[in-house]
Amino acid sequence: MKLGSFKNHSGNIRVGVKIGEQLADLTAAFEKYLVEEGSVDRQFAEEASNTRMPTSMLALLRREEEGWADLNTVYSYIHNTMKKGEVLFSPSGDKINYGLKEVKLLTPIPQMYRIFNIGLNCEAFVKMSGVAPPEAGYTCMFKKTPRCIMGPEDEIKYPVTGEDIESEVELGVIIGKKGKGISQADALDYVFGYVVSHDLVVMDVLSKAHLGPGSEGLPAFYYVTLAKSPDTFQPVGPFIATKDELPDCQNVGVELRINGEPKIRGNTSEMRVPVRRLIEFLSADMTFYPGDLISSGGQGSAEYSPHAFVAPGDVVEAEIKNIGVLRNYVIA
Amino acid sequence: MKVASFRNHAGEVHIGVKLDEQLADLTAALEKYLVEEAGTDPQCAIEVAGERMPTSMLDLIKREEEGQADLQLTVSYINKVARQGKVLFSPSGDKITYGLEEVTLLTPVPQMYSRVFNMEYNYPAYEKVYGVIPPDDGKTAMFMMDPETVTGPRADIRWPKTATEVTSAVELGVIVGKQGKRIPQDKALDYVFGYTVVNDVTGISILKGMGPDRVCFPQAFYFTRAMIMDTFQPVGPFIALKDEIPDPQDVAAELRVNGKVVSKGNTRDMRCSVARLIEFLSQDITLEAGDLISTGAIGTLEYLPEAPVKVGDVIEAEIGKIGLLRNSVVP
Repeated sequence: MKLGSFKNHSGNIRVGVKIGEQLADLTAAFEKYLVEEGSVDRQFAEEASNTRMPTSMLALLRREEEGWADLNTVYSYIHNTMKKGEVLFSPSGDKINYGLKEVKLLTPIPQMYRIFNIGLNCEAFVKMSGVAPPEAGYTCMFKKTPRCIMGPEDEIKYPVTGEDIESEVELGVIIGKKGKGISQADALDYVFGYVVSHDLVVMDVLSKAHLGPGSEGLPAFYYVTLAKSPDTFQPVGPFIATKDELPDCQNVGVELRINGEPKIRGNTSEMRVPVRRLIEFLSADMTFYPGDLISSGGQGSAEYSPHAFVAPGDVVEAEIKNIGVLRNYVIA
Repeated sequence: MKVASFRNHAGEVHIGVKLDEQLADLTAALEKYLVEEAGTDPQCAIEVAGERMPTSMLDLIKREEEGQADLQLTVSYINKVARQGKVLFSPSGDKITYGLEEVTLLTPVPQMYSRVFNMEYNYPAYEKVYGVIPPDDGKTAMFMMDPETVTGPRADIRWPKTATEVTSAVELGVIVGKQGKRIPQDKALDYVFGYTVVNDVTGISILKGMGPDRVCFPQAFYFTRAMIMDTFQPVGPFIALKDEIPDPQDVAAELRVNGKVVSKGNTRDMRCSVARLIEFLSQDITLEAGDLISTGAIGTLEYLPEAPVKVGDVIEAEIGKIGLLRNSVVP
């Protein structure tokens, strides 16, 4: 399943599932299912669908296993009911299926408030940075603010603190179950799905740390969080591909194009610390909550550096095959 | 004025203002004011009080200037009518005045700070005691903590699995009261709602022992990881508004472990002042009402800014102008 959040024709935020080139409103579809297949009274169906299939993606994820079960029910129902060219409505009159072009896709979890950004997570990245790599099984982590999160087609605002703005493309992991002290073996049970994560950084904020000899690298790390946190600096989307769409998250190709030209290419098979171990590493003393995003680190290769320079006017496309293309515009 | 969030006798979370040893429920107090001083219909007064003086501190702070004006109004009214030893009720029957011992004080913004910015290396002692390379003038290190790690007065700090050494530090916390971006230093304090006490706990051993021959200090990789453990950031007990602290660069702070003074200092030694931190952070990041900026561990050469703690310790972080934040370390 590919799930998204969108703004419908009346400006309300809803959750939807992609079916071909259409998007089906999950809350409205569930209401229809309850009345027509579950013989639920019309009056109750509207309320029950709002509770069991909330219009907030975060609220839906927080229902954990129960939400997942309802999601599968409504998906197979709507998948079988929808016909090409026919518009469906819920019993209370809400439109169910939209053409993808009719709606404004948002970042899949607009309510997101916890983001963990992983750094130095492939050999090409370590080489480019010129730093000694973290030990095996460890890597660095920073947090960005929720205001960094943007959706597909949104604008990235050029900052004032620097001119060397660089993009990275990363596999984003969405947590689906609360947990702490999670072992590598169990880690993927805590994953709900995956997104494309486009991580931007103001490199000048790092490299303009004027310090004496012998201090190379260290003071730059003082400013990593700041350099990565300007407003609009992390587009995420366009859909959440549920786990079944990426059966092996360690063999996923990623690409970043600027104005159509490929600048970054990599594969998650090159990760220094794989997704399972990241979840173990981070959750040892910290609780994960459904809806958390782990952006698993910029990928790249010897041929294609993990960093790409962007400037105002650029169109940046970050793509992961089984998830989608995340397109954004850099503006002055 | 010192404001707090508390759990009342009915288990509900409310906001209050401290009056000596009493706490006055602000929402109930505004309701009484509206009926008795403004001639508002009692039915309407309940609703209006709930909107203008919400029981959620975050909602109140997000009302920005209007919320702060209503706060002043409510507090001057309650100061006028409250008498020691007398319990007041709102027209709809809500209790207004509580003894401090009758309620459970919570962290002042339990609805979760929108964001938590932790500043590091902001006192000269770091360079002198620990040999830390100082950040450039006018800049300092920043990491984002997680709202889920924030706890309140008397909450337990849980010993982590991945660290063998844990330290504690007292910091002046700044609560942002107005949304803004690219805020100049000379306007910065207009964006402050008030000040609170932060106990910044760190799993310090996570930063150590990474090998001596590294080009870059790899421990810097793990700063966020070392600080972001569950329960590692007690905040509270009160927010002191700006009338209590007209100059945030003259605030004395102290950290005691089992009664013994371990850290001590004054915010006048900060490398980057509160005003400069607001300017520095807000260049490309929009600051929002309800954000918390923890301004860095306070200490001197004599009383170091970080103190080791162990299971069983009682930690008291105190800023005289704000209050005493007491927490215990448990297994």
